[in-house]
Amino acid sequence: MPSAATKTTTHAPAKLWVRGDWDAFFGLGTNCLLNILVLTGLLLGAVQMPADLVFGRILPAVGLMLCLNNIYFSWMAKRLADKEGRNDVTALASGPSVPHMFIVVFIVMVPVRIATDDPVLAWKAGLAWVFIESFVVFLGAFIAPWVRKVTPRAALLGTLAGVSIAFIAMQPTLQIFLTPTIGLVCLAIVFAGWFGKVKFPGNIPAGLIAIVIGMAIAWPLGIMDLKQLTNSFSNLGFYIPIFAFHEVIAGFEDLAPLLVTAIPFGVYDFIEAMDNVESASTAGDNYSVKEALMVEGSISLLGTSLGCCFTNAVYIGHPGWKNIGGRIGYALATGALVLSLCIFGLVAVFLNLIPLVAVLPILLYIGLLIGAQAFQETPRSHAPAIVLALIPHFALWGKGQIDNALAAAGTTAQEVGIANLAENNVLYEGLAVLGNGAILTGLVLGAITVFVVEHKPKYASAFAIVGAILSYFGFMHGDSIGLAVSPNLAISYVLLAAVILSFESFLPREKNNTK
Amino acid sequence: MSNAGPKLWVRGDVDGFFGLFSNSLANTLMAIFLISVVAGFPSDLVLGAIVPGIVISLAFGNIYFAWAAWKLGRKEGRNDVTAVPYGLSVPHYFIVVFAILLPEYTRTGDATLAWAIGIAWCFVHGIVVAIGAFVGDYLRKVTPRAAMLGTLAGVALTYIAMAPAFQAFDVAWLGLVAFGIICFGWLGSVKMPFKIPAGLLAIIVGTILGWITSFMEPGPLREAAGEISFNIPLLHLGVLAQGFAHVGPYLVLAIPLGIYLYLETLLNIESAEVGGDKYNVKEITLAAAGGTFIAALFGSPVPTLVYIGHPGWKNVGARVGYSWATGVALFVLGIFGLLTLLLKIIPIVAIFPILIYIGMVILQQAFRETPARHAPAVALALIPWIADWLNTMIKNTLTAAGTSPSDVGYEALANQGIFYSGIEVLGASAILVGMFLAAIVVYIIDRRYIRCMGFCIVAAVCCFFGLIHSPAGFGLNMAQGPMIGYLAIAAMCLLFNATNKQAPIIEDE
Repeated sequence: MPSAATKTTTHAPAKLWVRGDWDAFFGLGTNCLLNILVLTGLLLGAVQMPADLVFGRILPAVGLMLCLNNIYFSWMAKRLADKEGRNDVTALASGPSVPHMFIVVFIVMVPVRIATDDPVLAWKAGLAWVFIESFVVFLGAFIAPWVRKVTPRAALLGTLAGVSIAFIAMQPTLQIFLTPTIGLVCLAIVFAGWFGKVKFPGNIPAGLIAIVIGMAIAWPLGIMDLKQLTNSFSNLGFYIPIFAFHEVIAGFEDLAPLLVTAIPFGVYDFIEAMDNVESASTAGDNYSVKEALMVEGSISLLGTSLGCCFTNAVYIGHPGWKNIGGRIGYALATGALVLSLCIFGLVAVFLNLIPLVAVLPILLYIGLLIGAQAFQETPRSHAPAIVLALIPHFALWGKGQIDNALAAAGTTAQEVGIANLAENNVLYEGLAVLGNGAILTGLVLGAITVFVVEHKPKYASAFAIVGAILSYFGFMHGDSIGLAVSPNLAISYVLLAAVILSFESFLPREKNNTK
Repeated sequence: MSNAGPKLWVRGDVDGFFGLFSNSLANTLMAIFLISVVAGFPSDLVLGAIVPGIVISLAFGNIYFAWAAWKLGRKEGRNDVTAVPYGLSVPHYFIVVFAILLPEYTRTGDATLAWAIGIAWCFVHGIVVAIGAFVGDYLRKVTPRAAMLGTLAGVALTYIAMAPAFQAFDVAWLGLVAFGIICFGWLGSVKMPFKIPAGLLAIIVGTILGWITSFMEPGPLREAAGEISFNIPLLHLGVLAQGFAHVGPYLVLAIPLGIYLYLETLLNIESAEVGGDKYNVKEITLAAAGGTFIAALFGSPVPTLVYIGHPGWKNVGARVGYSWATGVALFVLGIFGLLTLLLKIIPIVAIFPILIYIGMVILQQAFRETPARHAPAVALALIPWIADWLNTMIKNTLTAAGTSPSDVGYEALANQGIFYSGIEVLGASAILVGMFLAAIVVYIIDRRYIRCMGFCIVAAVCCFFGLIHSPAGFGLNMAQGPMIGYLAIAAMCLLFNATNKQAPIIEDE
């Protein structure tokens, strides 16, 4: 850390822009741009939404949401700097939440689109889902400490790791190997820069180099289409976000059962945000967790009401931006950049200028990092719990892919027959049971395992009972919400709780007496 | 000190025997289940040839290692030498069933041919382990641990832990209870009532639950009881020779897996040394290879290895006796055909949690026994395996629907968000792909660019010959795109090496 930090002689207001903001702006700006490109690609490709909906309604709302959040975080930094008389305060960074981007697309919007063949309905469903998620984040500001206390970190991070490997890392890796000449090269650049900490000439951020090199390979090889690029200029214009209350409400009506699954994701969002605020305070900038969470939640709610079907997040990486000299201005500038890209329709141009496969290694990097973090940041003995928490996510993901394959073949699992599938070693029923409500299942199984390892049978059986209740109502293992949705599983968890409790008398004495 | 050598049986061997025996029994039953039910091999082949082959290899190894322990005890004048545990390699029986027996049998409809290829494949493992006893150290030095353990973790996750987890949740009232017992016994180290080993207790409770809920039926049991027969292990040299004629494409699988088998054996011998029993590494390794040779010669397609857990057995007081007793017991059960009978008594779902546990342990080992900074490389090594697993799932699903990916069309699949050709390319030889990708990332993290380049070049060569990334198999210029990609990374490594001034990270944490 530069020693200039300790110059606290003057109490002049902190500057809004310093030299280091350029570097940080480049980093955060490219990062946000990539995420917006990816989410646009998902909306157009996976959900098959019409371009005018994406560019005219959704993206302006995304831009406004991210911009407002960055402005607010800059203002928080400014207040902190003025209060403490420092000029080295770095603003929290904000951008679209990456795991949730994939989750809302592949768990909510794509299934709705496949079931109804109506991408607009899928959008409404996504809006309602994200609305709940954001609301949970907002409430999370009040209950965060308690949830954190009762649920072991390994269970929380484990189920997050499952999401990130199955839903963030897999798809990009497959796409990288579809176009390996670009994908592998960009992967090496990104990994060398971020894992290997290689300094590139002129301190250009690794992400930017990957984009430039990716373009330099893709255009001569004819992978990109000049016509599409020129066409995309027709999307230029000036789009103002419009309120979308009706759509949100319509989504609520159509999608009631699926909406509960948004709650655990909201929980993650706020846990993640809390972690990132904490890491900022470790780096020297002590922000109010409650304020940051309330702002994140309420700006997300505003974004959703305007038609943005993604949440924003407090980004990981504050210490990194601080390190390269970013202060207050970089967040403001990123907000302005994102807003202008979105409301002027420039995203379409970028999408046809930059090969998507060049930016995918960045997602793979994030997925691997979150997956690795679960193992790195938890006690050694909890690792089996993390592994167990991963499995439901693979089941969910695998089942989704199987459903899609069958849809492509013009049939469904029910038509083919569950028994027929089982004869071919596809345990569809097991996949469905384990995969439904994966977030909660991973959390509950992970927590039970942690408490077993820790010799706390009472806590473990309490989580088993929670599992029984959630299964009974279909939040876990069920394909719908109601009464007695998965009675078998509910009974199984009760049995499990009984087995666990019966072991209490066999525990070694000394362990039993502690706590 | 008398030179009579240690006792052949002590009290602690009872505990050790129940533990090792139930562990080995569960693995053996699982292997038989996979071969006879999942791969659908005819029961006279399984009962008459494969099972006797499996049990004779177990008898040989367990008796040999008891003898090795006895010799060591006599030499050092100690009574407390514990034999190294030994048994079937869990990842290998999954791989042999899912990668060889099942697809070959489906393809040709000839169970004997598929079996022949399986035992030839097993024989190759013996060769690799035997060679490993001499050159393994070099490979171990250049291949980062995260790459070895990472790709193994991929098998563990996809083939060992996941399928059993799905089945266990299908019959959750049985599976979850057995899982709870296993968790307490092995993860929580809780002493079970009457000191019954947790694995055995899980099986007993599972069996009781299975019968009182009439999940198990007496019909098949009676049928199996009628099949009890006496089968002597026979040498199957002719079959083995036939297998060698067709094993070619599977050698790629056998070599890295053989290296893993060797490494696992080596690690476990090391852990025995830490536990106080210093065996001759080369002798033990060669004996493990010998067990695998015997397996192959007598018709078992499953390689064997020195098991993890020597210090644990030593702790419970097991010495020499638990090892030979396990070998003898399994041998007797096997040649009288009682193992298949047990499969009709014990619900297989009660054994699944043991597999989930094994998968969990292998996976956590990959993340924990490597430097923390390498964890992303381990995570990356999982991805080709997940792709491979998904590929199998999609193929099987479409087969069930009476079609195939190429009939449906890659385009149509891509429209539904399935990048099928990406899945095929990434998942082809997942074991090698996982290892290469992880090794490359490890050396990028550590800024050791020359080593990274070495792995890129090897990977590019493998691409060229279709050893990796080639769904169509071997040939020349088979996976051009990935090859160019790897070569480009190699070139970049040179560049980084020339321009980068930061010191590489060499030490292990």
